[in-house]
Amino acid sequence: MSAELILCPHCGKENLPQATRCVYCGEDLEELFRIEGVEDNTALQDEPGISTADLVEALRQADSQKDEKTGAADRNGQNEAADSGGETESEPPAGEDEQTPEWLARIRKRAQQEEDAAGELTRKGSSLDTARSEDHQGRVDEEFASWIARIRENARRENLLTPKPAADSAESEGGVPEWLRKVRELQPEAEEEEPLAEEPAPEEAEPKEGQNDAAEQVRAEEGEPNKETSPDEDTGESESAPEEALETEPEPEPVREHEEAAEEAQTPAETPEAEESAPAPKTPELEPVLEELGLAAASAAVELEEKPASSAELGADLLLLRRQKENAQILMNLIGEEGRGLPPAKTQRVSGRGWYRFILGIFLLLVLAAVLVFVPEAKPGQVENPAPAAALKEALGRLASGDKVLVVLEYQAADSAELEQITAPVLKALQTRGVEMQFLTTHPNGLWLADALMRKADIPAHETGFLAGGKLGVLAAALNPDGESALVPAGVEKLENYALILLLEDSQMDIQNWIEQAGPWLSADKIGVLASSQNAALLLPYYDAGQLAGFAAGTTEGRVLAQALDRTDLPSAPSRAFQAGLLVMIAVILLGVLSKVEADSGARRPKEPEA
Amino acid sequence: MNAMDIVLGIIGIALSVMIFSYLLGDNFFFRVALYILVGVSSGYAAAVLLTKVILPRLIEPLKQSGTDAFWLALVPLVLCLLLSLMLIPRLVKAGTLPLAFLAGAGAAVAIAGIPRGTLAPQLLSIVNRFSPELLRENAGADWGGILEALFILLGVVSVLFYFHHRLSRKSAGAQRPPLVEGISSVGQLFLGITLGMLFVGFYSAALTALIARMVWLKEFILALLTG
Repeated sequence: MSAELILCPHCGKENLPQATRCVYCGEDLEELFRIEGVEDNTALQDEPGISTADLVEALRQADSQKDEKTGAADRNGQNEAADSGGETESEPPAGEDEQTPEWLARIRKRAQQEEDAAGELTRKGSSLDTARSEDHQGRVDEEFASWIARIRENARRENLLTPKPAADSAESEGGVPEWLRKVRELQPEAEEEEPLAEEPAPEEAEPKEGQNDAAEQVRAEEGEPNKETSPDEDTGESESAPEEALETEPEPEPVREHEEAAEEAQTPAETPEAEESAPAPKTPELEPVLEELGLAAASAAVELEEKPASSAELGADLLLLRRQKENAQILMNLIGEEGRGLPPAKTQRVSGRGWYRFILGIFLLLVLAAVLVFVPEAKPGQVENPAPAAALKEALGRLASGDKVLVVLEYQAADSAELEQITAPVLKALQTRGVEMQFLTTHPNGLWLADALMRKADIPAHETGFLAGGKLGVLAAALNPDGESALVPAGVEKLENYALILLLEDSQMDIQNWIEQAGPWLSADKIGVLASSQNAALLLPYYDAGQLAGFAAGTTEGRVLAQALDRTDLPSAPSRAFQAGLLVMIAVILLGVLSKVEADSGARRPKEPEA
Repeated sequence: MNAMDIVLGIIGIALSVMIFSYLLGDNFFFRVALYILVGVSSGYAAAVLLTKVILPRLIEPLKQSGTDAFWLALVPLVLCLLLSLMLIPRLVKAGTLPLAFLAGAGAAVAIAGIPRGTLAPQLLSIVNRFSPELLRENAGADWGGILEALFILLGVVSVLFYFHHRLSRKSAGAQRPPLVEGISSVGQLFLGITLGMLFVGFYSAALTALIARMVWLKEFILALLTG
């Protein structure tokens, strides 16, 4: 028990070992702060430049020296380390001893004796971190290596799949290697900026010779004749022994061997010695390319990981780089096109159809022109009116002098020729009878078309009112009880006051507007229609339903109606040309039907033998 | 024929040839002629609407402040202003009110007019042919009228069959009974006849316009040659 007690240096009394002050005299127990083996620590306090950081640094240096020596011992072998380890660890370098102060030397010695001044727990923790970082770095390296290997494998496959021109010698003009020419093709700017990089330096030429020696050695082991690789030497050999080559081997064989030798000379030897001794000749040339592509780090990793074993692999890498560059350019173009409008879609035209259409059109025009010029117009025959036209003729015949007729123009300029031919005789007949006519239109074009119609009918000019609003305007006109609506043009009375409302139409929609909006408010025999021929089929149901007083559609019915009204003095459309045009269309339809039947039967024939 | 007629005639010939050039396919000259037609038509329509509608029905009443016409004209004025605000992209929604008014009024008029002006009268015209009163009035059966009515009824029913079962076959993909197939074929025949008649009507109208244009060309050239 007494051995565990400590004596106070001041009063000499015994104190507990954990006491910091003497329980008897109250003085500090200095033994606690004394370093073992150091009798007096005043040197530490007297040293002015010593700080805690210096102490920590000193401990680190001691630790690092220990690690270096441990590594050296590993390399030299366990036995050697065992023999010399104690001496090397305990003896610092001579020069260092002279500069190191005494206190630091003692600290180092103490640290070496106590294994690790940082402590056991810290040492375990730091070793765990080191192991983790090494493991992580190893995984990263593995993944990176596998990624590079995959890329190379894909590039190699694509390179094999893509057709290549016939491979000539790996070294061609001026002894420039193939890989260097590819680099120059990819980066002409880099070639201009760094012309020295293209020239093989003398230091770089030596490894090539070494490679050649290695290749010659391998070739000699395989029993093949020695082939020189450089162009000059190659030429000399080919001049010296051409007859031997002709006698011993067929002509393509030396060429192939020459190519193989040249390829081997360009590529680094695959033996470990050659790998260690040969520098990487591709790296300086590739650097501008890789730097521009932002792949400098990756290329460095590639170089560390694995060097291309042949020019084919290097070519695959270059193709890969070129493809990446092209893809980057495509991506930049796409980004540049962002936000812009799509170009107009180009419709695919079926070739050949235009000519058929052109020939048919020209044929129709020629036929019509020939009929108009050379065929005299025939006197129109007496044709019986169809029922709707006869009904309209009766409705017109009932009109007497002073009756009011509202003429509504609702056709376009394209149909004006047809409508004028139908309408002009009717208007002339009404004018002759003294019928009072008012003109109204719901189309803006109707204003000037009405003037043309009046000139064609040879009647005095009338003012034409414009009824705006479409079907709403028609309804407003039909519901105009006193004829004073502001929506209806001035002069247009209540619709029921008119003896007949004569519609001049080329549109089914306009006809329906009047029949549906105004018809229910009018008597059944108030509405008559003069329409183009395309509306004939659509007007029949309304006539059959009793909603129309009658109608005449087309020039043929118009001509018959004019005959019934005794108005044949007005010029009409040439009937011969009309008939010729119909005949041409009938012929075209028949030809189309026949060709379609022929095409269908032709399509069926190859299927029948299979069935 | 004066100089103006000659100039206008030459312009007309040039435009006609440009339109005829469509026989060679869609080309520059055809499009130029088409744009001229559309532009001139639009400009003329705008001028007509301005002089015939806007000025007399909107501006003139606004000049008479305090009258009923003035207060009534404020409504279309506000609607016009809202509609014109659609030209500003941020204020497109302001134009929905006048557009809704136009669409609603047009739809209401059409919905009221179609049954009253088309559906009911034509259905009644078919049904009335089988009316006993018609038989009594004619002092016997009008076999021609009855046959015509039966024909019309057959056409209506078969066309309805064709459309209905064509749609149902498309959706279900099932085989139709022979009776339904036969009636649908009759409906298809009626549709073919109707469409053929429509085609003849359209072609006749176009042919008439073409002949009229060629006659004009012939007369113009003859006038030029004869002086």
